[in-house]
Amino acid sequence: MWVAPAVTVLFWVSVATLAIGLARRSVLWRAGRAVPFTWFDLLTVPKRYFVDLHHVVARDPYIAKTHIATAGGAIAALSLVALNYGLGIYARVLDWGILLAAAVMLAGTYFVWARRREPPQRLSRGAWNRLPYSLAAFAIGLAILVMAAPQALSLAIAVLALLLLLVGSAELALGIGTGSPMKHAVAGLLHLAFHPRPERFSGVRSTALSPLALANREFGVAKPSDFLWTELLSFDACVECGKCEQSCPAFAAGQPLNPKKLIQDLVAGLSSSSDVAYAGRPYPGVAIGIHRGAPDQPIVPKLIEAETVWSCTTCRACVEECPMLIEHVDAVVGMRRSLNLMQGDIPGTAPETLSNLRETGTQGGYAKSARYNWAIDLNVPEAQPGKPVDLLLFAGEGAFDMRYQRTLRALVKSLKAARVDFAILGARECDTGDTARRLGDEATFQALAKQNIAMLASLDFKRIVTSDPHVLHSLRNEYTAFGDNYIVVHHTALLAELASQGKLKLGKAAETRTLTYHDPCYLGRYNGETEAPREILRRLGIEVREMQRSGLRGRCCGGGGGAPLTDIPGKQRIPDIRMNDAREVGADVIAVACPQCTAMLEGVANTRAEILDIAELVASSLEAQQ
Amino acid sequence: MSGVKRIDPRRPYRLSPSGLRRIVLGESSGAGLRFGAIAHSHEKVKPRRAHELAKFWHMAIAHSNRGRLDDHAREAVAAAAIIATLDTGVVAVILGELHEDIAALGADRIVVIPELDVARFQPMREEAVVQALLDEYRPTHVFMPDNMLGDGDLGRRLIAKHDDSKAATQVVELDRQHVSVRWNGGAVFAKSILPRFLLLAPGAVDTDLPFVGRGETMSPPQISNVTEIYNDLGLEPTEMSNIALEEADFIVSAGNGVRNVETIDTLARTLGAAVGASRVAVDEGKFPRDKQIGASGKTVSATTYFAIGISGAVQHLQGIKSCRHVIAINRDAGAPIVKRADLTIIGDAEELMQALITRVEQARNQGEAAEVER
Amino acid sequence: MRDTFTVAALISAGRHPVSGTPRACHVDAVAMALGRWIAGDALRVVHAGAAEEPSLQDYLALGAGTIEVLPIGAGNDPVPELATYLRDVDIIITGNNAERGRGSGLLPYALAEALKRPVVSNALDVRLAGSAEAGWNAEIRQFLPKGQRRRIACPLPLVISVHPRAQVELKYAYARRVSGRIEIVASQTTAAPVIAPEWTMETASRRPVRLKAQDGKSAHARMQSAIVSEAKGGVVAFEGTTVDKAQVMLNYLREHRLVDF
Repeated sequence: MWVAPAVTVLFWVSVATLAIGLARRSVLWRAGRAVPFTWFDLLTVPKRYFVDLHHVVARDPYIAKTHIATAGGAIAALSLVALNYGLGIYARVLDWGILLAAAVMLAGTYFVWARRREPPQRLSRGAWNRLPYSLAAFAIGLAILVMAAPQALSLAIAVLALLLLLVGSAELALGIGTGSPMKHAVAGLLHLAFHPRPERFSGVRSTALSPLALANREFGVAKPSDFLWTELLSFDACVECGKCEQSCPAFAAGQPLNPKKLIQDLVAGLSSSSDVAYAGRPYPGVAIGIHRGAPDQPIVPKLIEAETVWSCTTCRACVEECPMLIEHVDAVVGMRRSLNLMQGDIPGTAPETLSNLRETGTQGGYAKSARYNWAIDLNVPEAQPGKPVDLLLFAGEGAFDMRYQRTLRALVKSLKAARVDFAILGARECDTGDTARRLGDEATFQALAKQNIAMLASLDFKRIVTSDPHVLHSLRNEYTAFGDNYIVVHHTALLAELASQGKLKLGKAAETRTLTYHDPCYLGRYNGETEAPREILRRLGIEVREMQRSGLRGRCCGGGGGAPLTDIPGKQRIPDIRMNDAREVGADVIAVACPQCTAMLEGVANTRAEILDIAELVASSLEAQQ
Repeated sequence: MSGVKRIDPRRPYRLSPSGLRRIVLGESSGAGLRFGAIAHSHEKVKPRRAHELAKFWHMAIAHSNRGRLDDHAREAVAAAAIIATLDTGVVAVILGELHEDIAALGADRIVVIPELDVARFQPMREEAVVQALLDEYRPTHVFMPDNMLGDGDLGRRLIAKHDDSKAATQVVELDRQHVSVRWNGGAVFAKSILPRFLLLAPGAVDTDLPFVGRGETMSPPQISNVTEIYNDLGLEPTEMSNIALEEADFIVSAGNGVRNVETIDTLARTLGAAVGASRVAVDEGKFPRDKQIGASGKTVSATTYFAIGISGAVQHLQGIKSCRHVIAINRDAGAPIVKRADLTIIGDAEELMQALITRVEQARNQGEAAEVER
Repeated sequence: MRDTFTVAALISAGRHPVSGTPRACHVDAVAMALGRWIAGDALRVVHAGAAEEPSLQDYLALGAGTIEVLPIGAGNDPVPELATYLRDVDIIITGNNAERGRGSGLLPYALAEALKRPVVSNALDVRLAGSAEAGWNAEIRQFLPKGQRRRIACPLPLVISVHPRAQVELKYAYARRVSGRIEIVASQTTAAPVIAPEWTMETASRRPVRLKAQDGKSAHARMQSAIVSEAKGGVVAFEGTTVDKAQVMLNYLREHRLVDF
């Protein structure tokens, strides 16, 4: 019989093809910068795949089950083929196993096909649309061949089956070498092993940006080869599912950003091609087919327009949603760093803000001594060297905003009511540099970080409280790379803690209107804190009418990442979209916990829900008790 | 509407020396709202300041604008008079035509050189003429407005020519002996003895004088032809509504209460003003982002600011802090802008804008002068 | 050809007006960018002062490339030194006012006088017309208030002082700051310190006092007028027809001479 040996030959040819393809692709990845790794990392793949990745994929049960069937069936079938045919065992019992696996795979491909009949818009078409057919061909061809072999079916059917198997095998084996959809299987698994943020797999919300060694003239990503090779690899793992696109606030607002397209453009860059073959939705307002790149060519503007890079709010919604655990925000900030540090080319009012930060230590160009003017009549002590205090209040840039000063005053009143031993920083406080860092100005960020670290080192305190999640993120997660570790608490966490300890007696709030809570990205997604604000609201006897996107998957207000400064035009404004979310649940009040969210949501024109910070709700409940 | 007019007992008022003054338009067909009428009724004859024969001279030099001196130029003349002792005369050198009497500013002698109009750039001629006058009068002090209309430029040319390291520019404070200027970008006041040449910052002098000058008009000095190395290629035509808000002296600004963008554009054109907008109006997409005035937009310093349908959020008021005259049109008398505005008209923005456009056009067409109306 | 004339940008130590932090003097940075636009890479950037001046770093970040530092002691008049050093430069371009020290705006004039050259102030834009044979002409767009602009042509050599509103983009790039160079050049003359008038300094924490004529009014009268002028809040017109109200606005404009009709 010739069929079984034919399968054996086909198997080994496929394996060889795959190996050659992988070798070729890995040459492309290795154009990226070196990063230490060990091959033992490959051993982490099963856990990372079945636990961490599955955790994200399982949010969409339909596609999770479909993928388990299709990929699981395929892997099982291939393993058995490798055993039975690759090694030439030709055991009948293994053929039954192969048949079973192929059947499972076929069932999976049916559901792939079913979804792709009327696919959601976020899914890419093009080559991806042929997958149900080529995979089904593989499963059917394999099934017929393994079952047909002994009975010696007609030659015609055998040849047809072999052809089907050939088509399917080509899809699987050529994918990685040609950069077609099935490359995700190989690249995806390798990406899990060599992920640029391995901490993510040990239960840490790894969200801090990595520092640039400015002294070594590291100035960010100008060309694809400036990425780490592990990052280039991660881009190849993308399955173009569009979950990122669906969650991206800039895309929704019609700004020229689509995280999926961004990753695909970087794939085009690393593989020296253009975006002609891209079959998903474009960057809003940017035509497909006119951009191309190469590993050693500048990314902006030939491959990606600067406006795309500057549209991102760094909200990490895309990262949160990505089933392949790709780090879009790192890529965006990497490119911003190069535009900023190498060319100083930044749109909107961002350059002004950055020079203010360099020259005054404030974003608005204010006197640092004016930061706590709102507290002058509140008799709060100012932190002094040699005067120990439990808690430092780090107010951030919101302290200069007349609206936000109400929130800060409310917070101070609550802290006083709870008899907390705390002090304000006064003129010592310098901007944390969060905005500078998101805008790619690593030099300014590091300079500001050093100033604050030296300032904090001179003071004697146990913890820092801030009402600004951006301040929180910098101090807690990003300053650690430059020196010190601080215990930083958000004001919502502190107020919840004080309430649970009985130090802060919260009564029932007078607020009877329908209320929803908007999670700040830098508190929720960046720091995983979504419970404390809700707990406070519960204690105040307020029921939270949750918006569809809330908690870790909350929608951005549009205020992060310096996006209000770069102010890239779109069709609508991000806060308007968020206000609509609130409107949908009939909220009259939106509780917030961040100065940026406050400003962005209050900036919504026309009728809108009232914006109240958690601290304000707490303070008004305290006043009501008096 | 009933026939009887109701008067809101809590209507806004103005505090004046004679107590609370409520303002209601229409009570006496608008006659109660003659601004500044009081000042005119009290006018009395002021005494002359100096002796007949001056032993020394102070000289004030300024360009006129369409035959008049602006506030800044008036301050320079007044400073020359206030600082002068009784035996010192004040000679005002006016470059460009002059159609008003400036004796009230303390000028004893007035030299007008009509052909040195501000519209033309001819610094070498100006220098030559002024030099002749400096030689004639040998003034102990020369006062000029430090502006960008040519006086700041001419003043610095004179100072450089006279190699005067003591000269002071952008003078913010002065008395008979001393002069103060801002150093380090405004962070410190630096005080020194009163130099010969003083270029005054705007607002350094109160032009309300208890005396008058003699006001004799003198003929300008005869200067042989000067060849100008600079070739003035002329002024560029400017469309007022297009100029940058930071530079505009007259701004018509729209808020949420303005529904018709065309009307505001027409009003701006009619008044020769630039168009601005509040954040809300910009967010709604009615105006481009670069028109936004306020804390997160632009800070403006127009002399006249029309706030139409703008409630006056703190952020907006921050942006108009340095505007001299704020006129508001608003439907809500309780809006914060009313507290800031020097004049508030309560009513529908669209109707009032239309009425103002019509009235201004009439006034322009008739060439009707403000004095005639009085 | 561009390199038939030479351009030098004169930069000074800047200080942020609020914080006092050293920075590139904004208008000098604008002048440097304008100079770069005219002369390209041939632009020379010159600073009279100390090479250690921290704000020079900002100029490097803004694209100065190499800064030539002419060492001048504090209190010395930089004009004779600069005039000697820059005597062969066709266009000297600088900001109209320094941020540090007097900031009197006199330096461009003094330098032009020392070099016996014309000076044009408050430039927004400079274009060069002509040729090496026929001679070069600078065509300058000059800032005037209220949105007015004037064009002036002037033959080289000349001094140009630049207005801060000149339409150039300042691009601050940290990498250029690292790669830029500062070169100290030899002192040109042996200038003696100028005998400048004595200035006494005072922190500007108060409003300047307006010069006011002694009017001999009684204290009561002065108090009265103070009350009137301090009465805050303006006039509010409620009733009347829209025509009346329009007239009120027009009256106000005329009364305060805000319109010229």
